[in-house]
Amino acid sequence: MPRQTIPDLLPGTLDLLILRTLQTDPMHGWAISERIQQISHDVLQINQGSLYPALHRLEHQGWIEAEWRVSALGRRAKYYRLTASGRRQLAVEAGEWERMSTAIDRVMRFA
Amino acid sequence: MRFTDFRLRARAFFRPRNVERELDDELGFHIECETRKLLAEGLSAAEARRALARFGPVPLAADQCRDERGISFFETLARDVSFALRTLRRAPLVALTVIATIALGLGVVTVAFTFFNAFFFQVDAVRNPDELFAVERLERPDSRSEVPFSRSEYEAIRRDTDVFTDVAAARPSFPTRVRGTGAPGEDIAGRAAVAMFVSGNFFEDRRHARRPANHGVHASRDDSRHYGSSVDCVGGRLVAGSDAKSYTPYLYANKLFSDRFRDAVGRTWPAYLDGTRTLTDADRDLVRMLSESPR
Repeated sequence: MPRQTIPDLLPGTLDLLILRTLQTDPMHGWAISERIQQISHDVLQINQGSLYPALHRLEHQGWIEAEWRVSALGRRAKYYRLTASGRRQLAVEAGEWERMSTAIDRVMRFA
Repeated sequence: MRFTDFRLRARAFFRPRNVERELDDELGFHIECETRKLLAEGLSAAEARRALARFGPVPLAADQCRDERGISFFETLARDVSFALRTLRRAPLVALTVIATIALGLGVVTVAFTFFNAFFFQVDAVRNPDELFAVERLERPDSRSEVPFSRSEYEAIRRDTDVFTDVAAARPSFPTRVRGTGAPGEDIAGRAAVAMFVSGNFFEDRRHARRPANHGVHASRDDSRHYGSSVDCVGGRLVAGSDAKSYTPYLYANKLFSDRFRDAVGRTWPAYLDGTRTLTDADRDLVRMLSESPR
């Protein structure tokens, strides 16, 4: 199956995917990228050059916050979790995405 | 700026070593996890390294993370200052010579620019001074005596003329208190203002009040320095057409008139402008009010 990195997909989509992935549990960066890759059946693969700047940007915006914990490997890892404002932002971006994808889908079906 | 953003930036600036160590740890953890995963999938160490290379170089990712902090300018500045201080301490004589040379060079450039600015680059403070006019009705074509416009005439000019972008009313021998640019809707005439103009940023130098016809507008920086910024209006002078209507510039700088005088005009001249008092009566009212009011 051809692999596609996020920046080639749609600008701004990465933030939405990260926020959605963190909706349930706190995760470190690698776990986030693995989760997205697994759920997308390997279609979406995020390199660290995209992932970590995005995580730091979201942290600066206050949509996620970080905490250092010991991982399952026994090594310190930086875990990110969604904040209250991050949940609100996720709702906004998810709504926008829904609207846009529905519109594109309709064009593809009926145009 | 959000508080979280400010806190993270401040931490990155004041505790850069901690933040850098955390960034290294975070990216290192990612590499370790990815390596373990690839080895678990059966790749050799060399294949795992090649596979990891597809995800881009770690230093580049670290740089992009640093950019997200938004303090790269301050970090660079702090590094430059630190480097400059170290250099100054190591070779003070050389450093002071360089500083003195740069200071001398800046001084020479400043003097040269000041000279050229004063004599070559200075431009009029008015954007289009030749487009500013005061309208004056003369007693006869060859006369220098002015006949004032009535309020209704002024309103007719304002309503009917398509020559000027805007018009405001005033009386040349009385103080003007005009604000703004004379834009439609601004209450300028109600202040017994003088002259007609389209901007409130110009003035005539009263030292040259008795100049001959067709003189230009004084709106240079020199005039601005003379009157300060609190100036009201000015115009140009020209003779238009065969009926020899004259357009004369006037200027009234607020500082030329006392508050007492302005107050008296404000009380007496609206009656003339309204048409309820004649010019003579309004003048008489003004003189009486000035004589009665305390200095």
